Amino acid sequence: MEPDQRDIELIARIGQKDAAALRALYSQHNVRLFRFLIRLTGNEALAEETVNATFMKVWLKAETFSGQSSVSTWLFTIARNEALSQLRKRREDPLDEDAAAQIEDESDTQETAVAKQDKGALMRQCIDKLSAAHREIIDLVYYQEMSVAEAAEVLDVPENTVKTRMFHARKQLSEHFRRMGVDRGWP
Amino acid sequence: MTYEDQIDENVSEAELLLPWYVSGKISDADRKKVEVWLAENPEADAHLQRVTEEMDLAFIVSEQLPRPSRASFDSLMAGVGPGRQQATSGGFAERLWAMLSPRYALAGAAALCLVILAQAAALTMMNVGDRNAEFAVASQDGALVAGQTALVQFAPEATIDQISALLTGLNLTLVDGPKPGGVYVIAATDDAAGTEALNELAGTADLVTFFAEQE
Repeated sequence: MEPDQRDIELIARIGQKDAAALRALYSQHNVRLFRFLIRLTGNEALAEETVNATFMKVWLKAETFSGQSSVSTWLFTIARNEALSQLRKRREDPLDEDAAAQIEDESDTQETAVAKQDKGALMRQCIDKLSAAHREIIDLVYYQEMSVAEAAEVLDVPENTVKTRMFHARKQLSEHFRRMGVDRGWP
Repeated sequence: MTYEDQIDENVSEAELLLPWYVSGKISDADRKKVEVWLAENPEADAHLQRVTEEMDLAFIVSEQLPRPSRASFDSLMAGVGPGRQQATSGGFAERLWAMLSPRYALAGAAALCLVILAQAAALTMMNVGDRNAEFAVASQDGALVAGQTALVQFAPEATIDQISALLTGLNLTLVDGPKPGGVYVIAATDDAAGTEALNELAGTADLVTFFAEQE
């Protein structure tokens, strides 16, 4: 059975209050959802709360799943909206590009020597320096491997915005690489 | 119009689509656009390589992020309650879930592999470096083992026999992959011997080109 078909059947069973089905759905998606939420919020505790809130919403509202998108996309959409709602309550704006752009990391110089030895470590530092909106799109495309249409649905933006946001995120990533002493030849 | 909607007019749509071209999550029409653009712009090959490297590194970095805690899973299931009793219609994996403790249930698909795989799991097919390749593992005695895991990329010239012998000799199990970048998830027993085996694997420089323990 294809993964998405299996997920759809689990959602149907969750709608009948089958706890084993919820546990199975959780097992399939909790780790990637959690990691996406860490990228979005930068807060592990909030990410964990949001994962639970997402699955609780699925438990209570499974019958609202329309089947027009994949279950995975639906879960990410719920999780993102839940996280943004929680952040608004805490009066944080995770997607404030201007504020993010003003944050300068003064430890670049000290980190550079170490980072050059490990491209993974360098990438981790560069992703961490991105704005939340850019971390989010990098995660959805490079880690969650979502299509343009899937990412657009999760982010609730036009598909063209997904493409351009990803382009800007990649440019920022290269800029951070350059500041860390690695010129990638672009932009 | 916001900042995010704006783009330099010199940037082609094909260039914007490169990340999806690399991930394979792209329509046939868009794939053709990118292929035409790449053919017309030989210098764009370097850009394609950059995107590929970004995706591989981003994937590895994200795989090293933590997992939700057991307490979180317990809290969710406590909130849900017992629900309706399930008949025996579930598949093997779900019947297994029913007999597992929450300690195992929280860890997701990779951990599910860990608990169902015996140490003598048999690697039946693997193709290092091919993102579309698949592998299969089979439990010989059904023993339930939890463990620690690491992300490993093998050298392109490493053969299946060499890798299989290495993992078997160290009592390690391949449980997932290949992920982007040709990375595999390797599991060890959750004890000092497992840690030592992973350390030894990390030091096998002729066969292992990347190694990172997972939290």
